[in-house]
Amino acid sequence: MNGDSTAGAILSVLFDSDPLTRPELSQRTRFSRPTVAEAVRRLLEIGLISEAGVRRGGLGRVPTCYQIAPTAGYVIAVDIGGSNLRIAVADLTGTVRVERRQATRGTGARQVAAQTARMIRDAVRDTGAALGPLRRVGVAAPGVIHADGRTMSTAHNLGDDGPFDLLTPLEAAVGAPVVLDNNVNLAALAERWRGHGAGVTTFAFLAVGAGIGMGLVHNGELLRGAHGAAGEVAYLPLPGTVPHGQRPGHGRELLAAEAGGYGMLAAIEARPTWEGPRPSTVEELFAQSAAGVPPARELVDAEAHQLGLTIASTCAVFDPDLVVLGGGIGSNAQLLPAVRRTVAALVPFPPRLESSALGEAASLTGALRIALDGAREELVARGALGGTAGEELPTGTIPSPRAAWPARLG
Amino acid sequence: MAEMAGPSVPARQQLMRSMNEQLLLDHIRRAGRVSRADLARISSLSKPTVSGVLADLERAGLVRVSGTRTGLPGPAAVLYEIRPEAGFVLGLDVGRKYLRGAIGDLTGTVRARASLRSQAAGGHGRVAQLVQLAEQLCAEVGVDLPGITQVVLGSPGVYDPGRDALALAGALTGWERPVVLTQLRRAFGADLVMVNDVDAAALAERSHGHGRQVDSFAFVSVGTGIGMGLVLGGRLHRGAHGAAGEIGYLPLGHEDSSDARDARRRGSFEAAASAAGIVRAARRTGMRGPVSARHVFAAADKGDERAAKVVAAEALLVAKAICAVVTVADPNLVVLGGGIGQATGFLDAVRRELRHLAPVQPELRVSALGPDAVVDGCLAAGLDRAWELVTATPLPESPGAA
Repeated sequence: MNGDSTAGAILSVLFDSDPLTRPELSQRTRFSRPTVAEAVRRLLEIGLISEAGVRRGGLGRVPTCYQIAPTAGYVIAVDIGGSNLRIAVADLTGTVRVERRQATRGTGARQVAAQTARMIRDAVRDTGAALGPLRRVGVAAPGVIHADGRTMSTAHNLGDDGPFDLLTPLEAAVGAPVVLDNNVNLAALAERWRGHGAGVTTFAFLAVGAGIGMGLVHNGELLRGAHGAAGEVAYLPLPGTVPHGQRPGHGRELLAAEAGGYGMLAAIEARPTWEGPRPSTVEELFAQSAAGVPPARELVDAEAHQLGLTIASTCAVFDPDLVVLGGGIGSNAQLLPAVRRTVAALVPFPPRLESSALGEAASLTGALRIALDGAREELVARGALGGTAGEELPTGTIPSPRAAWPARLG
Repeated sequence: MAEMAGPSVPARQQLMRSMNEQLLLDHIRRAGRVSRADLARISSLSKPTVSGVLADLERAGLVRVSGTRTGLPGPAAVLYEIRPEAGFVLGLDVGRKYLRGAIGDLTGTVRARASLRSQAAGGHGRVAQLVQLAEQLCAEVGVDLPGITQVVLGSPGVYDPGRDALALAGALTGWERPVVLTQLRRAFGADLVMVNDVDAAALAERSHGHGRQVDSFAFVSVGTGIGMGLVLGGRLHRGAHGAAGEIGYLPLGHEDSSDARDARRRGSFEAAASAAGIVRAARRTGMRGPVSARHVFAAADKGDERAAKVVAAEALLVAKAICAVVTVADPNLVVLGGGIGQATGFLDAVRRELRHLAPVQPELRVSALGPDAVVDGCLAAGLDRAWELVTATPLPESPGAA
């Protein structure tokens, strides 16, 4: 059994490291050199690690270095958005090998899930055997994921309030475990991994796209809340907003009440007159605002003010070190000065405010993170017992810590 | 909890009791009363070792014999327990109208309680009254102030390390001046700890109240001031600047119930929903005479329509604040406290409003704790620290030791 835990320790070191020699592995894992040598032999035999050449320049014998084998396996990350589907293929060190996107077609979770499944199948086919077996798929979903880890609700920007079993069609597409989480939570995780949140233990990621949502990191972990509702800031009872129980319509119509893209488009429509051509997209609105068109500036300022109120509310309750503004609209740097003004006027101890370092790739990066975590944990736990290229891994639900969301929301 | 210890960390914290002494102390603390043989069994130490360590701990005044256990076969077993007087915690609650205090011993038993009506117009007088209160409590227990292991001060506001002073404590005149902290440290020692008063009440709620059974809850206090203590994962969440739960600053006040200057000073929600906000709202409806928040609630109870409208608007405002707490942190439970929060029937009115506002409904309860909640929370916070300080103190060297 000792050999297995040694192999697991070697793998966890090599996942995040340059190639290492056996003495270095012994030092890092604190296992003896003979134990490490035996585990390295086993890991080479089953194809999880490979020789990375020799390191020259030192004195004495030329040592062989080891790395995670390029064919040890791979993961797929998917971000399901209202306008775009994104997919990334990465090896087990987290290096992205392929990244693609296509426009989201059709309406409703069923059609979007089918399109996502096709996209994953195509990526698996195109990757072939070049990277070894597919180990895990991580999916950023645009709604609330229930405690069962498979059902999604309130995916308003797919035009679907749910509940909808998202996991089954995706699992059916691939022979590997699939793990789902909410796209905003994943964006917060990503910001902690590769963005402004690195090393910050308490921060908030405010995602503004079609609608608005927040991912909170508390002591380095996602704060999900007792009912999975932590960060559902679209329901903040801010001045001028309609209580959520009284919001009209369903699906995308519900987003018009939020401080996001749909809300901004609705605000453009609501103005009886416009100087010059009325913008038909949020991008055009921002462009007009930058050019100084008065109604456009007013709407962008109103949006920034609303985001500032959202952040001020978050500070009054949670007092984070840092708030990252992200999402297709939130990461627009034009918003930042006005957001800062509102926050400074309302918050006694304002947090650091930044635009997302990851931009539109934040949720996809978070999905990659959970796919890697799952794949690596499984290999480390199994050590040198398994992991032969091409073997069948069991598929199944990864239990999500998210608590049950009441059905009446759906 | 803000540790304002500054540079002078007592040297005793750097020295440790031996591993065996700490191990046995922990076992005795958990067990309450325990025999030498049982200690040997649960600690896996030999009986002679246990006897030796117990003798040392007894000599140091940390444990004592508390009787014998009879009724079992064999000789009667001597039982040991923690000596309660081995450590004391002093908790002080700095309120606007009253100063309250209590001393608890190392086993958590409260040994003395007292309160004073605050006479002070400024920080200096308030510190003097706190010292007077502390000395009265110490005399009752029979210790002197330096003999207190840990002092914990529950106060409005937060500790601002940038100014080395309290901040957001506007309700107490002069309390934010840096000299106040200097005087408090001079009176109560450099290792004085400050806890926000509502956070302290939340800690009391966690130890003795509705918060005992849940992983996460918010204690929302609505009275002359407004604040919240947020417990996440069983621990008080203070936030990056100690300002988590300063919900008075929620941007929720609406123009007609708020006072612009008051809103700038203490936050828009607090200006609208605290007692002063209720009085302003009542005046706007045309209520005359000596109006107080208590009076408005009493009038509403008796069927006064104007007062009932004010109370209904207050319930909606508080429900909005709770909705904000739910959408950000989503706790299992929200406990409502404070003079307004604990008013009869108010919780039901808040619950009715919250149904239309929040995406999920937390459990809502009225705090069952009385006016001693802040002091009790200070004692709870201080007890763990006192325990650490006491058990980390080195034993006096026994004669002949190397």
